[in-house]
Amino acid sequence: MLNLSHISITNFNGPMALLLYLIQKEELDIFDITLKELTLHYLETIQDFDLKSDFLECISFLLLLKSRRLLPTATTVMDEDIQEIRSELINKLLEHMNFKDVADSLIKKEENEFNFFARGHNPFEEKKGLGLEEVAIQDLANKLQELLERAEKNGPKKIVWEEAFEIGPKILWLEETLSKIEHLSFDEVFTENKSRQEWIVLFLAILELIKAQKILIDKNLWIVKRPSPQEEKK
Amino acid sequence: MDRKETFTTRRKEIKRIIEALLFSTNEPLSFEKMKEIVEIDYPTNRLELQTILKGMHEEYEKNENAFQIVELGGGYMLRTIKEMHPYLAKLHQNRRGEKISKSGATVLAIIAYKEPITRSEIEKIRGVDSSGILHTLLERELIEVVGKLEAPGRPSQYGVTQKFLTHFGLKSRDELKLSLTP
Repeated sequence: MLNLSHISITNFNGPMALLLYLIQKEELDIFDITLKELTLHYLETIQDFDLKSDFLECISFLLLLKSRRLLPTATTVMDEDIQEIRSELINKLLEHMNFKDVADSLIKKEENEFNFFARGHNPFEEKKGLGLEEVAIQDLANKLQELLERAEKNGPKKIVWEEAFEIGPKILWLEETLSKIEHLSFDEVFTENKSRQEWIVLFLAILELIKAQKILIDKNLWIVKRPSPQEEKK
Repeated sequence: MDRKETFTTRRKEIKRIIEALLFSTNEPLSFEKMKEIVEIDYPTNRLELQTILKGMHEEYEKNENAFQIVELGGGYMLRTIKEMHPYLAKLHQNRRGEKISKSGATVLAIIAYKEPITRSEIEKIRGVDSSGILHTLLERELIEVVGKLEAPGRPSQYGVTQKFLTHFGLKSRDELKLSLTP
């Protein structure tokens, strides 16, 4: 991230952290840094929002330092005070920026770790329902998420006219289909020739049927007709 | 000749034990624990165990196995190799963990580097309230309370966990400090 904030002005060319460091060590006088150039940098950064706010933070801080230096100081005591505050502030800022760098490297490391899978279970596991027969709400939510993502990818090829879908007919269709065959898979229901809207209505219809205890979704995400109470007794 | 033979069977046996141990766990297994178990039947030393582990690593590589022994989080564990990622990602689609946020990573960096550290010390560095982030990190078990500061209110001090090391693929705290030296 620091290389993003690479700055190049008169008397200085390099990353922000180095500039701060040099000023702190008093190897570079803030007095030698042109306020105008810094301001221009500041403005450029504002225009490019991709650059991080940390950069703004540093630049505005340097502006503050410089303006303090430009003001005539009444006594030497006060000068020392300012010196102290300056050193402390720069220290804090440097430390903060360093930790942000470390944070960046942690994020990179994490990204890399996603390439590996440990034994037994995925290290980044989500809770799965413990029930034996029926699917857990979490699995269903995951499925919906997956469907919506897929719908997003497919997108409408061409909208001729917007058909309004209602849950009622979908429920009837599902019940009818399930009376003919034993089970349905999600892929069979959510086919790609249907629109995103239709998918959502279908999903709602499935939820309705589950609520009415007419169907159930088993562990393998099959949509199955629930035997009626009389049948179950037999 | 005879002696050489017992030597190789011995090595083979130790190797098998280690393999079984690693196979059975999904968390890093510490070297000490491994040694302790191997020594039930085969008195050994650190050097020999390390040689065997290294040998196994090379063997897995030579055989082009889909998994490898890695040193991680203060121990050893088995995990798949990078090349297998596309297929595994397919199988575990919805199982991918939440990524750490930028601010979360910053707080982790501060804790990892300065532990034990209290919330107010963290906030002093960051300049903003960090209680929410700390809560999330605690919940994800990336940090834990490691002590109380002897000061008014006895505030909790935080430190990073072994899970933190595994999550970010770090061998140990030492590696962390070396690689992350600000």
